[in-house]
Formats: sequence, structure tokens, C-alpha cells
Amino acid sequence: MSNSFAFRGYPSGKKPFKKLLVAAMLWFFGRAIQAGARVDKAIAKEFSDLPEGFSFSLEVIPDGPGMVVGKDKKGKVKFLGMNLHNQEITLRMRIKNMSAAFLLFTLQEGNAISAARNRLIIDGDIGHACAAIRVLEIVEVYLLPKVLARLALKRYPNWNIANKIWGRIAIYVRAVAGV
Amino acid sequence: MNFPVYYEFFCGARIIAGHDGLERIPLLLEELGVANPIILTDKGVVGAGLLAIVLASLRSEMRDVTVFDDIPPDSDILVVNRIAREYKKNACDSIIAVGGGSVIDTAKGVNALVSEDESDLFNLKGAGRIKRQLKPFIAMPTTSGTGSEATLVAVVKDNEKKVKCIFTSVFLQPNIAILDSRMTLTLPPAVTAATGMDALTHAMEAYYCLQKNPISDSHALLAVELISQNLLKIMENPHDKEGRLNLAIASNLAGIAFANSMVGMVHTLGHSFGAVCGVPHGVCMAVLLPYGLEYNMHKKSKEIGQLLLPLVGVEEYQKTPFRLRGERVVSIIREMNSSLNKITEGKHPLRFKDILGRDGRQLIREEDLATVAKVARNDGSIFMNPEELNYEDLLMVATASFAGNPLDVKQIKKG
Amino acid sequence: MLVHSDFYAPVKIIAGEGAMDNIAVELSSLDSCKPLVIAPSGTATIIRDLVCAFGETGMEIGVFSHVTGKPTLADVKNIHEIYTSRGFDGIIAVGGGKVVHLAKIANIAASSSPEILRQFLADEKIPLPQLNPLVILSGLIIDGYECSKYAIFSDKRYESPSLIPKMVIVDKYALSGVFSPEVALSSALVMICALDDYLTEKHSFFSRAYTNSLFGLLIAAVDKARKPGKWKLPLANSLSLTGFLLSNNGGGWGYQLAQALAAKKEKSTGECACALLPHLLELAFERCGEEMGRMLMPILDVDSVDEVKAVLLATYHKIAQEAGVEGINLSINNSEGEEMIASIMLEGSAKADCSRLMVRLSS
Repeated sequence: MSNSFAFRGYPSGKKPFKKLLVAAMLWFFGRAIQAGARVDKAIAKEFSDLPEGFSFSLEVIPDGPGMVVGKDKKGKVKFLGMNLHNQEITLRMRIKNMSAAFLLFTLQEGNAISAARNRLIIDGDIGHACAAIRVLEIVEVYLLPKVLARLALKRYPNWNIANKIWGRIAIYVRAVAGV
Repeated sequence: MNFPVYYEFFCGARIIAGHDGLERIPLLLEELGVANPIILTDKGVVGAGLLAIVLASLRSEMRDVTVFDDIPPDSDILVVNRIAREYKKNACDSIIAVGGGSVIDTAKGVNALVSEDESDLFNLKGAGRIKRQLKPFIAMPTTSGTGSEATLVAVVKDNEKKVKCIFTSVFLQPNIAILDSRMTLTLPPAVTAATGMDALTHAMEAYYCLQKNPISDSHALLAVELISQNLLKIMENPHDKEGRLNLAIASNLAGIAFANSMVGMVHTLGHSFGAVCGVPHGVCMAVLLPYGLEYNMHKKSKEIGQLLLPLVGVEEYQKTPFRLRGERVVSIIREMNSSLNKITEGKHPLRFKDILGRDGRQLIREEDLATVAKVARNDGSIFMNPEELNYEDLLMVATASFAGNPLDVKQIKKG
Repeated sequence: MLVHSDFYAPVKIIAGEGAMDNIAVELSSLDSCKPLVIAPSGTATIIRDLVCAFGETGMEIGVFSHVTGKPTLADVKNIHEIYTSRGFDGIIAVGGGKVVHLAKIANIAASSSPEILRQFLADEKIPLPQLNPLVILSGLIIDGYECSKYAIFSDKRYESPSLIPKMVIVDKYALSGVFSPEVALSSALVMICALDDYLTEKHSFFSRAYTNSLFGLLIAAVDKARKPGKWKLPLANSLSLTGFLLSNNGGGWGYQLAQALAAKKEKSTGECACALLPHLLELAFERCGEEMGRMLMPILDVDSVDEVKAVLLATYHKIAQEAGVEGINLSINNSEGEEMIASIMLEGSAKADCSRLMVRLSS
């Protein structure tokens, strides 16, 4: 059997559908975190405890998509866009591949489960990562109906319903408007 | 058997266990193709006469090898840099680490620095930056507890900047771990007790936390059995070589289990008590283990109940009704701690309140507990605990373990 | 139990949902960014999924397929030429058995030099240099050597720690097919390897831990053999662990006996394993039934030693039934039995056990 018959080269197979959905979810999450920091005291407190100039990314290996959220000089929390290259990022949370990111963002795997399955690589201070994940979890409670958020969390928080609903509306409106 | 949806497992070190494990070193060095190791250790190991035993096991022409015996308990980047300079100056080609967690972690850092072409170790921090085989590295643990000879992680501190850097790579694991009974034979009773309970905690948390898997499970069960059969026996008869070796093996099995399954809240709070108040790690584990079991019981009663079997054997396990097995495990751990407390004449504490500092004063004050709970929130092990832990939960457990009261089940919020 | 022990199984296991998707990250952690896939013919679907798993990495993947018969030097030459001329830096072997043996041998030539391979084939004692990573994408039909330090080439078994693969990936998308008789025979080999650990005096706590996991995985798999999709992952996992045990004990006496019988009776090792299993199980129950029970109770989630024994027996019966060899009789006469025992060079209690077993087989 000749080499040419037994051997073939392939380019890696891309996953455009998953990539699009993950990118959209990341974009919305980034804006929702910015909104959450204005609406929810616990999120604001988490950010105020983080060092000045702190920023974190949630991104997919090898080259995105990814989103960056950070504190500006005045301590205001901002969604810093989807560009992973031209800014300094204090903490990078990198999802190992597009399929894992898809599982996470379609809530087929909760945050803790995703971590237990080694889907995430943390580059940076673990303490900061703990804070960032707590922020993500609070945002999830606001954004998602209880049946879905329960899948993502170990324990669904026992919040005042009125506050939760007002917070949810405020975060959705702000996230869509980008303020 | 529950097959997890996904898991990873790795133990890259060759494990050699025996009463004369050290005698294999010359041959092992030859197999690794090296002839000029640097031996890394600390003053405690030298003082206990263990370095002399290791040196005696080397071939005569190697007896004047480079030795660095000044690794402090809170080793940091400066120590790593100093050792790396020694390594290069003496044209060493391999590393032998003889000691506990601090020595082995430092050796991992040194190995990364001397093997990779880096001037600053911190450039390699994070996960997976080290991608190549490092220099040959043999580890000889001198405590039966930390299991750091089995982990893929090195923690190196920068005491000046007060940051802790974590390095993860399959290549950080030693090539060979040698478990020799002589290395732990002279361990003082209180240290034997604390490190034994540390290993037991590794095994138990690996068995009921979120990353458990079919291979870590069997390592954990075997470790629990060996510890329960040997720890108290050794405390009564410290010169029992067989028991010492079994405990060293148990510690390694537990290390392999938790390196692949991670640990939970006993470590979350334990690390924090260590960082905030300076309590030795093993002591924290011993005090907190029953609380970790109690806190997670409602979610993991089956797994925790199964741990009763390696603790008490088949007959008693079968006699204990299913629903009481978990609680029985908790009470056995408390009984073990009490026995260790009696044998060490109080040096093995039962609650944080009783721990005394070097100056003889109470080490932890009640007002420290809030800080302990706050710091604990930022410990990575919190993710792998089956039940959620927020500040209030952590404070509740810290307070109970300070006073030595069992957890009030009603106060545990169930997710 | 032997406390003086030496155990080595440095293979990273990556198993379950999304395992294959991690392949690019895992290869890159081993410093490989251009892998060559070596696959048997008829694996086009698996190769498509594998290539797809590299996703957005932009990596170029080479595939050398159509590995059919026993690996030959010509295959090794071809792979070496492709590997070096196109700059590959790692090998992924798809499946088990022949393909993995070929990949192991070819990797010596490809990542060091043909000269070193020649020397190694002439004298396996020569130390091999550090080789580029070899990753196995596990299949369901194996010979047990995949994750071990052994490679079989030109009917000879070569050994070197450098032949141990760096990683095994167990993913349902690479596990196609049903619980066929061939798969059942692979399972029989796994079971015999696990029993060997309980029957040999040479085991250590470390081999025991893997053995217990192996029993758990195998039993879980065989129990669900008729439920599509449920048995493949645990089974493929147990197949990987078999290599760990073989690496460290060179094959216990049960496994060696099965091999010797296979050569003598012109049957497969799996069939001979099936013939030996009921006797080996009985022997193990006699010898260390309580210990086996105690170790396996929590793993099998049962409540008594007797239940463990019952589960083990049921597993054997199901394997034999699925393999279509239940009640297989190898019709061995006394002199053949003695010849077998002599050929595997046993000592002490193993020799006595083996003799008893041969008497039973020949009666």
C-alpha cells in the first residue's frame, strides 16, 4: 500500500455554531456582570474587595471567544469587551475547548460540576477566581429562572422574591442597554 | 459503581516502598542516568539523623554530594532561587528531596527552575506551563501525611510580596517516591498523630467530594483501612516498623486519591486556620474532619457511610443499620482524636480553643474566627465540597470547631 | 500483603463526556502540537470526530490509516518517513492491540532514530531516550498490553518504560460497536488480570488499589452489557487499567497460563481465560474471599462478602455467555498440564495452586 493512500492530512474541524452561541452568551454575561455590580450589593462588595485595576476574563482555549470584566481607576465595574489581546488581564479563566464552553453556557453543566470535571484552567490568583465565580453565580440567579439556575448552583439562595424580580428586570434592562 | 460523567486520573511517580527502600537509590540513579544529585532537606530531618541514613545508602564515591539542608518551614521563592544557584554551581544533574511538604514543594520549584530555561520561576506559574520532562527527581517523604510526593502541584510563596504562586503540571511530580520505614520511625507522637489524621482527611474527602472517581475511590478506601489499622497501633508502639511503613503507604495512597479527586471544606477551613492563626496543617485537619463529614452528611450519606467498612471491618459494618453508618463514621473519628489526645497527653488537640502557641498562650482567639471564615471563602477547595459554603456557613463551622461542639444539624442549610 | 513494592503506571487517564474534546489542550501540555494519528481501517467515523475535536486550534492532523495485519517493519518505515518529513511531534493510536503495538515501535524510530530502533530490537536492554508523546484513543477490543510497558513486534514481546503511553483517552465517540463476543473475550482477559492480583503473593497495596477499581469498572460494564451506551465507558476504562497491572507484574500466573494454553490449543487467550476463570474464582474465594469481599463491598455497593462472590460469579457467566464459550473445555491431559506449569516457571504457592487447577481442568 502506498504512502499516499494510507496517509491524509486534515485541518482541525471548526465548530461555528457552538462558537457563535458561546460568544453571544459571553457578551451578554459580560454586560450582565457590569449591570449586576450596579444593582446587587453582594456583587458590588465582591468587586470592592478585589484589588484596584483588577480584571478577569472568561475565555475559550485556544483563541476565544472570551469576555473581560474589570474595575476602572474609580473602582467602577465595567465590561471591557471581547478582545483578549490588547489589554492586561489579572485573572484568566480559560475553558478547555468549545464543546466544554457550550455545555457550561447551555447549563448542561453547572459551575461547580464544570470545575469538578476539570473544564476550566485558572491562570491567576485562586482567591480572585473564587470571587469571580461567586459573582458569576449571583448573576446566574438573576438572569435565569429558578428551575435552570438550580442546575448551575449547589444551593439556590433564599432571597426575597420581590428584590430578586426587581433586580432581574434591572439587570436585564441595563445589560441590553449596556449601562 | 457510579461511573462519573467525566474524570481524569494520573499518578506518574514510580513508588518504591520497603524497609530498605533507600538502598535502591544508587541503582535508581544509575537507571535515571545521573550521578551528581543535590540533596534537599531541612534542619529537622538532619537533627533526627535521617540525612545520615540517606547518605549512607549512597555509593562511597557519591558521599560528598551537594546537600542543602536549610529549607525553612515557610519556604519561598528566595530559597528556591538560592538552591537553584547551588545546583548550577555544583553542576548537579538531579534532585533528591528528603522531608515533609515544604521540602518537597520547594524541590518541585527548584526542579522547574533548573530544568526550564527561565530566570524567574514565576514566569512558569499557572496550569500547564511546564510541558517537558524535568530533571530526575526522587522524593522521600519523612512524614506520613502531606502526600505531596503524589501531587502535580507546587506552591511557592513570595514572602516579601505576600503572594502564593501555584504551579501545576504532570511533570512536577517526582519521578520516584521512596517510602522507607526508617524515614518516619523517629517522628514525635504529636506529629505522627496530626500527619496521620491529615492523610485520613485526604482519603475521606477524596471519597465524598465532587471529583471522586473509580480509581481515586479504591486508593482512598485502602488508605482509610491502613490508617485505621495502624495509626493508634503506632502511637502505642512507635518503633513498629511494619506499622510505620503501612502508614507511609497509606499516606501515599491518600495523596494519590486527593491529587486526582481534590478535597473539600476540611481543607477550605483548615488552610484558613493555618494562614490566619498559624495552626499546623495536620492539626487543623484532625480537628475539622468530623465537621466536614457532618456538614456534608445530608448530601453524601451513602459515601460517608461506606467509609465505615474500612474503619471497622465487615462484621461491625453489617451490624450497623444503613442510616446510622455515616454518623458512626463521625463518632469513630472523634474517638480516634480523643485517643490520640490521651496518648499525646493533650498535645493532639480536640478543638481549636485548646491550641497553644510557642509562648504558651492560646493561639486562636474567638474574634479571629470571622477572619478565618472570610479568608476561607477564597480557598480553591471550596468548589469541590458537595454542599455550598458561604460566609455564615463557614463561620458556623469555625465557631463549633473552636468550642469543640458537634454541628447543630438544624443550622446546616441544605441545597 | 507485600509491603516491599515497586509500582509504576504513569499514564494519564482522561475519560468520559468530552474527553476527546480535551485532546488538543492535553497534547499541548505535553508539548505536542502536530499529531499523527495511527488508525486501523474502518475507523473513518472515529477519525472524523477526532479531527473535529481539535476544533478551533488550527492544528494540522495527519492520519495514517488502513493498518490491517500484524505490524511490520515496512509499516514502521512508512510511519517514520511521514512523521519526520512532515514534522509531526506526537502520535495518537486509535483502538487497541496491533495498532498500539505498531504505534509504540514506530514512535521509537520516529522520535529518536531508526538506528536506535534497530539497536532496541536487537537488545531491548539499551536505554531509550525520552520519546515524543504517544496517546491512545481507547477502543473496546484489546489484548491488555496497550497501557503497559510492553510492545509485541514480530511475535516477540519487547519491554521498556519508554513504551508506556503518556495518556489514554476514553470517549464514547471512539467506542463503536456492540458487546460482541470479541469484546466479551477482552473482558475475560481483564477479569483474569484482576484475579491474578489477588492470587499472587507479589502484589502491593498499589496494584491492589488499581485491581479493585478494575473489578468495579468491569462488573459495572458487564452488568449493563445489554443496555446500549451504558457499558462502553466503564469497560474501556477497565481495559486501560489492565495494562497498569501487566506492566507491574508481567502478567500474573492466570494470565500467563491463559497465554500458554492459547498457544498450545490454538485458541485465543480470551477463550482460554474464559475456561480458567471459574476455577480461578473458586481458588480466589478459598484463598482470600474475605479480603476480596471487604475490598469490593463499597465499590460494588453491596452489603456482604457473599454478595460480592455472587456478583463476581454472575459477571463471569455473563462474559462466557456473551463470548459464546460457556462451559468451554480445553481437554488437557496430565502431561500437557505439567508442561504448561513448567513453561510459566512458577514457584511456591502459585505453583501449588496452578497444579491443583490443572488437575481440575484435566479431570
